[in-house]
Amino acid sequence: MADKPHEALLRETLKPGIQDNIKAFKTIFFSSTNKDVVVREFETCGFAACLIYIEGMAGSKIIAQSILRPCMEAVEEPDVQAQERIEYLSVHVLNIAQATLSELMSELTQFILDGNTVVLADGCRQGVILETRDYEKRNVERTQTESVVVGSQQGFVENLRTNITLVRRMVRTPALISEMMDVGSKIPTKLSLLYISGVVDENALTEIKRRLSSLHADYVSDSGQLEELIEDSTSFLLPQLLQTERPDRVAHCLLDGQVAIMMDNSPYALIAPITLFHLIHASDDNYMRWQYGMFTRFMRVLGLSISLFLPGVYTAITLFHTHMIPLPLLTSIAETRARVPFPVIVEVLFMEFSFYLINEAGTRLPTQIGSALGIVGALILGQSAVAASIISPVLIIIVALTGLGNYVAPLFSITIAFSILRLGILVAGATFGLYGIALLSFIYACFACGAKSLNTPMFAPFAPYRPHNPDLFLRFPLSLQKRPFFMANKNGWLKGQTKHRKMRGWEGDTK
Amino acid sequence: MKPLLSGRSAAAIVFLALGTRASYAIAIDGPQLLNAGWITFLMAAIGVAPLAFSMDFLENAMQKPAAEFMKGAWVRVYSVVLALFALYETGCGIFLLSGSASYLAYETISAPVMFIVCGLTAAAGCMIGSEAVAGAARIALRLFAIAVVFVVFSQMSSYNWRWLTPVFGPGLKVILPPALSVSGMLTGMIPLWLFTDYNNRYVKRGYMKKILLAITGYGVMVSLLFAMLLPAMPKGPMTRWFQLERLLANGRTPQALQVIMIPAWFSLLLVSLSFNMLCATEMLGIAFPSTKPIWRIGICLAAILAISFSPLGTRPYIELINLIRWPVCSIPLLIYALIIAAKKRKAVSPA
Repeated sequence: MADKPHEALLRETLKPGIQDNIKAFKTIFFSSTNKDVVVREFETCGFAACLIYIEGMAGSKIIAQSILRPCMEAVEEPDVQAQERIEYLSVHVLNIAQATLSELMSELTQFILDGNTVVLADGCRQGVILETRDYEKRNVERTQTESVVVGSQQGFVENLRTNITLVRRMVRTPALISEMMDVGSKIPTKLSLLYISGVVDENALTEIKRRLSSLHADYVSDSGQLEELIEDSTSFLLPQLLQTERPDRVAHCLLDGQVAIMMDNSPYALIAPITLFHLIHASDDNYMRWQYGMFTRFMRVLGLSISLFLPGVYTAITLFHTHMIPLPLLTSIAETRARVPFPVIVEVLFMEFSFYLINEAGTRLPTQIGSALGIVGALILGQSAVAASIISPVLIIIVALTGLGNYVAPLFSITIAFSILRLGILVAGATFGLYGIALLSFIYACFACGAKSLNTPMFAPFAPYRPHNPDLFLRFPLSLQKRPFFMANKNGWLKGQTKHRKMRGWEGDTK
Repeated sequence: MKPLLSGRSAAAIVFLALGTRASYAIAIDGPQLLNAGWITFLMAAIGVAPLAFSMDFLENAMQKPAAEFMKGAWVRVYSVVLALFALYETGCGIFLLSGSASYLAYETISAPVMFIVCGLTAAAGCMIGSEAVAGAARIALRLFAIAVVFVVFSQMSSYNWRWLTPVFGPGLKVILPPALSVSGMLTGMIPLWLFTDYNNRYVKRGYMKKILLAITGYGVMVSLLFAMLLPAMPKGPMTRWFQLERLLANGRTPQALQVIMIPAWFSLLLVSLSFNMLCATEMLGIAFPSTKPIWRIGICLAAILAISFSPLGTRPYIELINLIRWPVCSIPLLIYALIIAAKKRKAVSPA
């Protein structure tokens, strides 16, 4: 296996001669061909100095005003020893908030790649890393995939620092820790591990750090890839880490004792450990009055159940258990199916795949065309298929209900997972009827109960039982909730059942 | 590795599996009881009560009772016996589940295919793990509770308490053997007690009595409801298939209303099957600790399919085999409990 380019050079430390160091950096950055790497030599305080940065990653204005200008205006200081020059510049001359000294070529190179500027001085074995990052980035905008009616509308962006700030603004406690790490053995990408000290379960934190530190992937480009690398089982269909683009969701999870992983270049945070109940919760459940939250969550569970079982049960009943259908309905179905030349399963599969195609095409097309495509797909294709006797009208209702049920899922990954699971139920229903559906549902239930997220059972606290907050299937009033979640530190400082009386302290005052 | 099963999961699985098994033993395999099934169930519970009390006594008396109990060499033989009974139960369960499926007009699917699919499902549950199967049981328990409400309400006007008479049905002579047989089925809690990890911090000690009480309540309720659906028919059709159809049809409800009943019934039987197969594989693990779990599951699958393909799963064999099950399974544990009690008394009493 070939080494990284200039691996030996990167392992070295700075030399006293500035020209040697400039030469080394030029070699590392291929500066003869790489024209966006800027190496600017100048004189300050009576000695030669140089700054290195990447154009576009570092802000030229900041460099000119806060580094070059003060350096060039600085008067000569003959008392400063050669080895102390860079420290002198850092303390007395440079006008930048963050400055760190380093002598390692690899570290200095990495910081330059991150958008920082490195200043070197002649005769000195150290360089100073100056925070000058100023690259183009997307503004904080509304969330794209986790829209809510009530509550915060902000979503994460591709910039790690902005994302951490968004979370910090919501959880204003010094106990919120943001640990920086790199992933990718050849080309590192920055990530941040966020948790609340004293609330997070130490075992979960240790485990997540162990998994992250033992990754051997050359390059990890996005949180989706990272998820696949650190999840417990790659074969389990449902996500074992929660991928969210909502800072408020991350804040809630941190307060529940979970850990968030945020990666540079990814507008999503990963939350671990999670349970299956996290996958059916939406942020605005907590922001609405509890009755509304409970109702919407109930409808969501109902919708997901319909989306999972309805086509399978319809197929099973029409193929095997016609005696279970009330006679008027059976007659109606038989009449509509009389002209259809295909078996029910073919009809259902045809409509299911048509639905997937419309969905996928709608996702890839621009918004304006996408909505038109939805109408074309839903109205024209459906009507034409019925008119051509390819499918029966009842099936349109079945597939429409299934599609609606599928889209009540608050996470996109759940929508896809349920579509795949639904196909399994459909095949089981077509092969063995309700018996097959019962068998497959049992296997699904076993898989769900056996799945783990960071060694935490995903069906917990229901199965296996753990003492818990009852806010699982339904959204209960705040006074009945026991925060933090069962997976938090058992003796954490946020622990303590909040009584209704205590929460609404003003009630006691008025009586 | 010893399976880690939390107390509530263990309670859920044993409650559903044994409650269902005992209930259908009375409702389906006992047409001769003539609506006196609930009395039979009570007698069966009384028969198995000493066992539950013994297990709870051992729990309180010792730090790791199951581990201590399993130290003796004879326990390997005992484990094999328990495994064989659990396998037999699984085989019978497959037979019945396939019979239930046949009720749903599967004329085109042959019985062997049904047996194999069913066996593979139970094996898949075991492969995923005990906590997974127990978790599925906890889900099934909730769904079953909803289904029961629906089933009872759909027949509310049809229940007739007068059909419970005569209380002792055909008489004690006829009731006692099935009661002993059901007691034998309820000894299925022994393997669970043996393989559950009692070091689990979520387990409360001494819950076997409560589980037995819950199973008794469940069994009596099912038997009562079932008996109140139709009058006792001493000269009526006495086959188990007639009884099964009566159960699945929820008496005489319109067939549309059976859509809830039937998946619930399937779920219960699947939990029961997986529980028994899990017990069998774990007991074989105690008897032959060096064997890999996958091999044990494979052997168990082959054995249960062989049982379901043979006439062993039919009514005369079921009654006979379960009659000897109670003494064979209970007596070693009861003797062990007595020995421990005697030792404790000796240790407490002054010299």
